[in-house]
Amino acid sequence: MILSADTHEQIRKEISYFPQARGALLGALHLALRERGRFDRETFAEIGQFFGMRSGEVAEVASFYSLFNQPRARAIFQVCTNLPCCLRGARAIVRDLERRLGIKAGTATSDGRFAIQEVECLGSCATAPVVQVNLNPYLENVTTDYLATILDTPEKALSARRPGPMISTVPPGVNGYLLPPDGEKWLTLEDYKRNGGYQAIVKASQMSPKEIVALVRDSGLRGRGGAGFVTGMKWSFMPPPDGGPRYLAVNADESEPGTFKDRQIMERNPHLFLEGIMISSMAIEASAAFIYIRGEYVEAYELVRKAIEECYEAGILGERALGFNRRFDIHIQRGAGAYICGEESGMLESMEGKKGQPRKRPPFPATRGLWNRPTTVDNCETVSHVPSIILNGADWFKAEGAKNSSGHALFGVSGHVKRPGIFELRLGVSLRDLIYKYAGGLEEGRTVKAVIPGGISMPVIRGDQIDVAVDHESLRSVNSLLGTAGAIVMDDRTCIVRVALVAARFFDHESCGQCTQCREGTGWIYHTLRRIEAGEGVARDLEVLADCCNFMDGKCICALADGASWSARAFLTQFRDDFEAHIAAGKCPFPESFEV
Amino acid sequence: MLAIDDKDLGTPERKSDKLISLEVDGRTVEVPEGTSVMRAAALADIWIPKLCASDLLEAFGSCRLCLVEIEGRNGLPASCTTLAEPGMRVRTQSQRLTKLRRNVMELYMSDHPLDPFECKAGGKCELHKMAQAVGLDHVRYSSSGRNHLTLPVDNSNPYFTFDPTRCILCSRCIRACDERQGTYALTIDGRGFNSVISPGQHQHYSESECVSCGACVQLCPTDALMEKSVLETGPAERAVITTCGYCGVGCSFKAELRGDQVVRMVPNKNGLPNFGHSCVKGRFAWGYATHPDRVRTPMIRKRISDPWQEVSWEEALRYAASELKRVQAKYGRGSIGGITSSRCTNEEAYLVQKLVRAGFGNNNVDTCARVCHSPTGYGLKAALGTPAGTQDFDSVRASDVIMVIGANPTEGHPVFASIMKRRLREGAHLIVVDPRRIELVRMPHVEADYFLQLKPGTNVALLNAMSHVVVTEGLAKEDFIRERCDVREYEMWREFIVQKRNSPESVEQTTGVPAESIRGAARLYAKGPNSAIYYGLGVTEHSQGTTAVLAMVNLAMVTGNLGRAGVGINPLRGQNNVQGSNDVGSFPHEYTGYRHVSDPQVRAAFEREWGVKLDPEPGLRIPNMFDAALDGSFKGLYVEGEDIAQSDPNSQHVAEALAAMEIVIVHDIFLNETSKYAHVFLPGSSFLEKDGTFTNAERRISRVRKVLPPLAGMEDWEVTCALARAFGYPMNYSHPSEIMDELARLTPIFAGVSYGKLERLGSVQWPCNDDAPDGTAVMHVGQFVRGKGRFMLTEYIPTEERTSPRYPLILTTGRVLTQYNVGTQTRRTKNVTWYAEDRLEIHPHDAEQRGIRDNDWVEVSSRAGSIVLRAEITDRMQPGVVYTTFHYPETGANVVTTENSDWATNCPEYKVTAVQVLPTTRRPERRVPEPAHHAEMSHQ
Repeated sequence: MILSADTHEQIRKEISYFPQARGALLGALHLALRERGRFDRETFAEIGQFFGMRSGEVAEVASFYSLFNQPRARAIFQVCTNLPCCLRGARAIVRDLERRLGIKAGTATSDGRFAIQEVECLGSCATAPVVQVNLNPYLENVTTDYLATILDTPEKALSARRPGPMISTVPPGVNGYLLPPDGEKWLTLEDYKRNGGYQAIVKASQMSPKEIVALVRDSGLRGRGGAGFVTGMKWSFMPPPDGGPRYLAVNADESEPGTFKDRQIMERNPHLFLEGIMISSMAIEASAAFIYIRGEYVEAYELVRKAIEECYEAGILGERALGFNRRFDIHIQRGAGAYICGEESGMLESMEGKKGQPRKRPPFPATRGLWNRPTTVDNCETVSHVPSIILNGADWFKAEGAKNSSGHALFGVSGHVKRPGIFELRLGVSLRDLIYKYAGGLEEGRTVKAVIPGGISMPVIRGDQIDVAVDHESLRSVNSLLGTAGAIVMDDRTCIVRVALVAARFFDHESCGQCTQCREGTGWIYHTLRRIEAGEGVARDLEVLADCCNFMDGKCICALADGASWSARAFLTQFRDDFEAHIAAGKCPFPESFEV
Repeated sequence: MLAIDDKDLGTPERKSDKLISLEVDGRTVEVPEGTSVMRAAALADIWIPKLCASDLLEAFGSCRLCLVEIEGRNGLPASCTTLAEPGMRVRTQSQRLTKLRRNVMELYMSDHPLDPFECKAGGKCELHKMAQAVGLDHVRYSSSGRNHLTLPVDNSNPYFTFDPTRCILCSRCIRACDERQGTYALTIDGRGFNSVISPGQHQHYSESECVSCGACVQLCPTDALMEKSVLETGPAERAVITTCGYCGVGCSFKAELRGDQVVRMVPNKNGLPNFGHSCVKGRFAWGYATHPDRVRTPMIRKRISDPWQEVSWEEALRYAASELKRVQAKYGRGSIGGITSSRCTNEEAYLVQKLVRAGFGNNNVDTCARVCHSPTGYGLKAALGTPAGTQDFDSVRASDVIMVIGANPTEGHPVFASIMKRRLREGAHLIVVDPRRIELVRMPHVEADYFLQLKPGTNVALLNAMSHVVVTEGLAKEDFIRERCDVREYEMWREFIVQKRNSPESVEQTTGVPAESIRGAARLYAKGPNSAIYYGLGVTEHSQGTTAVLAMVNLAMVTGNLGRAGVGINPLRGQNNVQGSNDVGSFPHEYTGYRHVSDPQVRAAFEREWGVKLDPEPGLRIPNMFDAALDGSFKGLYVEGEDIAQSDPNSQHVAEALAAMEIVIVHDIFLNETSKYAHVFLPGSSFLEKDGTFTNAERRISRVRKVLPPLAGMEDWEVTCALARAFGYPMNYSHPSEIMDELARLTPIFAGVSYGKLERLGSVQWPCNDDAPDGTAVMHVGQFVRGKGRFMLTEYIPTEERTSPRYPLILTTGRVLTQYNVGTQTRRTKNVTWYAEDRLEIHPHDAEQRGIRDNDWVEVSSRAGSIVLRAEITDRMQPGVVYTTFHYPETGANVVTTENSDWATNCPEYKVTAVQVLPTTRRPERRVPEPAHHAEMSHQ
């Protein structure tokens, strides 16, 4: 036996939470990694024993997830090099680490003490640049000077703490219902209850499931995970109960670059999240809910876990759950570094202990979701709106937003702004206000060159298009989409070829590899852009890129290829001059641009 | 790579009574509900481009080539994963789709050599074909990007290569391994562009869990996975459909040829029972057919101490016939006989028994089934009326509970095991009854609900206890029993079975199985609703083999598990034609179709057809022949395709008997143990060299077709005819089809069988006659063949073979996947790579007691003899029981087995021998590499 008895015990306990043992596979891998610090054939074989799987199958699953495939070292510096961090100097951080440790990113020191790994968005875009050492709390707003102080020993790096400021806020004049008042965190049951928590569920329990569904549908709540589907409508797709289990699968795998809002809910108001889950589950008559939290979010995971424990202790969850009059459970699963697991069916696969490869639809999750049972997948923020809708009604909710975009949203602003952060505002706020009024505007003398309004998959818009309301309808008028409402702002020094390159590298890194166009296409977009950026592009490259994009969107199993092609195509069409100038000059024509 | 001429409809067949009509490119097509658009189009002869789809695999939807336009639908759905709907209008061709497909192909080819001449698959590469089909002539992506073109080739498997530079990540290999084979040896390592196919865990194929079933190679659309034989010989030009010559599953194969050389054997996807699946033996281990050891010329000698003398066929046959006549004249009509083979065709076995009965004028004919499944025939016939398995193999797909007893399907019947595992993964429950923890007990994605690890020789006690639970806990299906069974016998049996001595608690000590487990298993089996029993020689090769078969019948009847799909009692037969050789009259007391030789009406029919008077007295069984030989009353034997000296129990006794005979004629493809005692050696033809039929364990008669000319010039049936003529009995057939016609005329269960029908239907399961012109998949539907099913008393009587202080352990035997029986064939192939010697498996406790370490040489001695082999310490064994395979005759496993046998059929008790195992300095006598034979005993 390679793993300790304690780890065995914990794996068995994990297994007990799931209708099929394999649901605990990622959890088991996390536990094994925590104990052993690395994987080997024997460890995989031992884990496989729990699940009736070959060691090779376990290894296959592990090989899919970035967190299980890090360089081998005691302390791994994971530097976020996605766009929001790059815009704020992540490259210099990597370069400095490389110099000080004498190794290249992606490798470990020969003594196995340190490693540097470039990682995709860590969901801390307002405190960029961000570094995570192993699975410890983020080091936020890092500087090269700061990192120099923790490089003596791996232990020092592992114990380093550098929390950023609280970056989410409810601006004056807004009646926040998602975030606690500025400066506050309602982490305990007592905090939450004192502020009116767990009253919505009592009210909801007096309604029939159908009434809850109808109310939420009437409120116009739309999913906050990116696709914007009408939540009540989605709930109504659940077939009538047949006596068997049915699930709510909650997506807290927030990994869309530029998006860091769900983390704010989980880290500041976890019980709201749980109450939202409970009411949503009541509506769809779910027997249990599973939360999928991205693996890097260690603090969010801990806080939600503690909140769930409290609920069990207080009898809010468990045998006779509050408002349910029956058993109701919530369990957490942790992701392990794969953007695609934020795609609903990729997430379901991952929750079942598999690689997060999206499923073919139909069947849709409502018919056959988790473990082939009816399942609704909702985003973390989405369900967190539900308690307030129950308490205040559909009309109130509609009034709190814009046309066809009811309610508040947690707007993110990152990149070249003075006060990046999360702002709880009504949908329909103008993008200009978001940038200038709430996020403090750009540095003196700078102007907005481009904004990606809703996470990196959404088409970029030009600086002259920011007089647009940020809601579902309005952004369409500038050929973009609301997405996750995380705006990445780029000033006039920015080289869009580099932006496109960072975006393309992300999609290439995150493509699950099933569909040909996505597996090969994201790679070719990335490599062609890399050539152009390096000054080796030729005119025909732009045609090939455009062609490649055209044959990707709408033609694959999931929407990752759509995002990859929308993103690339928008850069090409909105900023064609940048590309042509790059090719013509044989180098980057923006000397002051951020580095990639 | 597809087999020659195989069309691939893209997604598997769906069965439904509900038909859906849709329009594809203007053609209307009607398909069962659940059919994919892709398959519907293919059925309308419209072939949508595809690379990841195959009708052997569930739809996957990853290549994105098969996208189509569907009226009223947004986007371009993948036709493989989109199901046909009523009134759907599909367009498979348009400018948009052409461009899209060309783009997809361009992406593929951006990481693949574009030049089809570089492709090792020749014109058969689906990738290059598809590139051509969509008109791709160049790739715009610069070659400077990342690619997989420098990955190393994996040549580790003896039969195929894996070249990852040619891989397109369609996952067909992985899905084949998972869905079809159920081994889960292949994985995709990594994600996205960095994905690579990885056997095991970054291992070579040979180091991984791969069982070399060949499914991945068969399904690879490119030249990434290629049979080495194809690389050596070149792509095939034509194919002949035939039937595998190894185990009783009887898989349908295509022998692919280039010129007159076999290029590869590939499972016939349209053939039953294997639906295009195979195992390492049938797929790859056919090289023995052209092995240099094959005897190509007849040989004779006066005395067995003389050297062999090569002679012409005429001379050999003349000498053989004259000797047989001389012996018969001297010692009497009953002094000679013949042995038919379960490895030869039905027609050949039929002719041998005809030669004995009509030519020799006695009934001294027997067959190797004597030592394997004779209790099956006896027991099932007595209780139900038909001496054969009740189901087709496919029936297992309707089973809810599967009980495997005394069989090891993943090793012995791998293709059927794959079908069974698939059903188990779908959720069927599993009960395993075996002294040894076989693979099925717990393997990836399969786990037995109950593993009853009983002591060898206690099957009957355990089965009785299960029935006891059924009856005493009120789980008996009384309606079924009243309607279908002899109620008076049931009442008597009931009285017997409820007695306390048959309770799980009473047999706990005897069987070594906790009573609660027996109860649980019995309840599970009784609950069903469809419970099936699959069993092997672990049931039959016992002193109570027949009793155990009857006990299984009792259990199945009392729970109503007979007469429909998903249930039944199913012998897993060891040899390709063991069922068939029995069917066609190989037993001394029965004519074809299991009719007693004493039946005057039946005999009259044979006398009319054969034109001679026939002996109404049953002849000698094999063991009686040996005894008679030692008595001096049996002096001449014609043995076709069986190495009796090797595979019958107590080798010493057999050797003495053979040595006492005056004329022994061995008709085989290799020299073997028996031929050491022979005076005439007639070179046989392998299954690739003749026409005929085999009948598998599910009563399926399949065609064997001549792929190569016989090496020695004559097919086996021609040799028997010539021997008969030389002996003075005329036998004139111009083709085996005429033999089948004669068999059909004489045998009611075969009345409807003809080569014409086999050509038309592919294969047919007997009974096939006017009542069932297309054959019979499931027997005993509505009523049992014999009328009322019979409950028979199955008192457990322990074997006389007991452990003692001198012989404190029980030895039992079995086999492994890569070897076949005594290895005659498989040891003449590269299968020796995987299994080079027999080992003795022993429990750590027993090993420790004796100071035996892993790999130590040990001596295994029984009351009959002793052998030496190496020990493998494993907790697969229970304490007190040891196990070995018998693939290496020099190990001489049968040297230690005793002469105990089944009370009803003389089937030897191979599965229980009391032994002692001790470390030794002795080494096995390395006899000359065994010149074995093509027909050996199954002793699975």
